[in-house]
Amino acid sequence: MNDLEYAFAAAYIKTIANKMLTRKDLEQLMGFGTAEEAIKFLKDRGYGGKSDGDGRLEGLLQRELETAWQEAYSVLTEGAPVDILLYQNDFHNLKTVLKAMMSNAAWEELVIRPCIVEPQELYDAAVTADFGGLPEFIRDTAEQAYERITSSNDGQLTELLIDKQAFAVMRKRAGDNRFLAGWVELNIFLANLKTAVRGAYTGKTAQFLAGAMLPSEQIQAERLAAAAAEGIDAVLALIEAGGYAAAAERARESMSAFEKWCDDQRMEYLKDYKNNSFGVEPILAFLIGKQSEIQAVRMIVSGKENRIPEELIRERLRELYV
Amino acid sequence: MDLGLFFALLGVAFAVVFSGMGSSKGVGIASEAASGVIADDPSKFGKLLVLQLLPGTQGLYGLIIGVMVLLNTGILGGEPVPDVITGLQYWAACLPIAFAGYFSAKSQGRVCAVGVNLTAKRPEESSKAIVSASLIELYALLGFIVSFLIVINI
Repeated sequence: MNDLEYAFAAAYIKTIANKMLTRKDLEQLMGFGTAEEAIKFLKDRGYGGKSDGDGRLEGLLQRELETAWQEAYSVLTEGAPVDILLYQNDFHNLKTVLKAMMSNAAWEELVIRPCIVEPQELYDAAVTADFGGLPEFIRDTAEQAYERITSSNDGQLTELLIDKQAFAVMRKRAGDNRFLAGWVELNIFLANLKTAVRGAYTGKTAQFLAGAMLPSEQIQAERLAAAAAEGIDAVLALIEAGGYAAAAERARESMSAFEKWCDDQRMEYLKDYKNNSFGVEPILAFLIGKQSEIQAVRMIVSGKENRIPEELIRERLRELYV
Repeated sequence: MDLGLFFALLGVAFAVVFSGMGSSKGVGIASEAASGVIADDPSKFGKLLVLQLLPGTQGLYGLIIGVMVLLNTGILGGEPVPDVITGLQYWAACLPIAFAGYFSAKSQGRVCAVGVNLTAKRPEESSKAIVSASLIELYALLGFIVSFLIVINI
C-alpha cells in the first residue's frame, strides 16, 4: 500500500485528536464533587456531540465513541482496515446473544456498540440457526459456537472458543500491516498473561489453560499454562524470566494493578505510531486512544456516582493517548 | 530542425517536466494533508499555505531555466544553436534543476505534510515546520544555480 495514502485522513484525525481529554482535564474531572458536575463539564467540552441526550453518563460516552467512529469513517476510503478494531465487539455480542438465547434472557442492554453486525441480526441468526446471512468474518465462529453451546450448554467453553476464533480472525485481517499485526499479537500476549494469572489464582488445570490460550511469540502458551497450573509463584517467575518483571511486580500487588499494566502496554504500543503523518496507523491509534479515554472518564464519573475514594480511582486510571 | 536545437529543446523539456512533476507530487501531498486540517479548522488555512506552496518552487525554477534556454537558442530570441555540441551543452545545463528539482520537491512534499500534522497538533510551532521544509529548498536552489550559471555562460 502506498504509505502516502491517508494523508488527508491522518491530518484530519490529528486535528480531532487535539480535542481529546488530557491528564489535566481528568484531574479537573476528578476534582468535581458530584457526577452531575462532571457530566456538565464533559458536555461543555463537546462530549457526546450536539445531541442533548438524557443527561446520563452511559449515553453520553456511547455517543462520544460513536461520533469518533463516524469521524474516522467519514475520512477513510472503503476497505480501510479499521473494522478489525470492532471485531472484538462483534464477538463479544455473539457471546452475549448466544447466552441470552440459551437462558431466554434480555440481551439488548448488554451488547457493545459500535459493531459491524447489528446484534439483532446475530440474535436472529442464532434463534433460527441460520448463519448464512452473517458476514464472512463471524459466520463460521457463530455456527461453531452455536453448535457447542446447544450441544454442551457450557457457556465458558463457548466463550473460550469465540475468544480464540476472534483472535484468529483478527490475525488474518491484520495481514501484513505491521501496526495491526503487532497490535493483534500484543493483545493475544496480554490475553494469555491475564488467563495465566487469573487461572493461577483460581486453580485451573494446565489442560484447561492451554486450551484457553493462543500461540504467542513472546512467552510460549504451553509453558505459561503449565506454570499457571503449578501456582501463582511459578507463573510470575516465568513472566519475570520472560522479561516482564514489571508485570510480575504489578500482579503481586493486585489483580487490578496487573490489569492496569496490561492496558498501559497497549497505550505504550500506540506511542510509536500516533504521530505518523501517513498511513492508516494514526487513525487506528486515535480510535483505540478514544476508547481508552472513554474508559477513563467512565471510571472517574461512575466512581463519583458510587462514592469510590479518589485514591482508588487514581490508582486504576490508565495511561492516556494524548 | 537541426540536431543542436533538438538537444537544447530536449533540455528545456527535462527542466520543465521533471521539476514540474516533482512539484506537483509535493504540492499534492502537502495540500492533501492541509485539507485534512482545514476540514476541521478553517482558521489554520493561512498558517498552512506556506507549507503547501513550498514544494511548488522547484517547478518555477525549472520553468525559469527552460525559458532562459529558449531565449538563448533562437526560439524566443538570441542566436540559433550553431552546432550539436552547443545543443548538448544546453541539455546538460538543464539536468541539475531537472533532477535536483524532482527529488527535492518530492521529499519536500513529505516534510511539508508532516509539518501540516505538526501544525495541526501544535499551531504555535508552525514556523519550525516551515524551517524544516526550507532546508530541502537549499538543494533545489543549488541545482537551479548551477543550471543558471551554465546557461548564461554557454
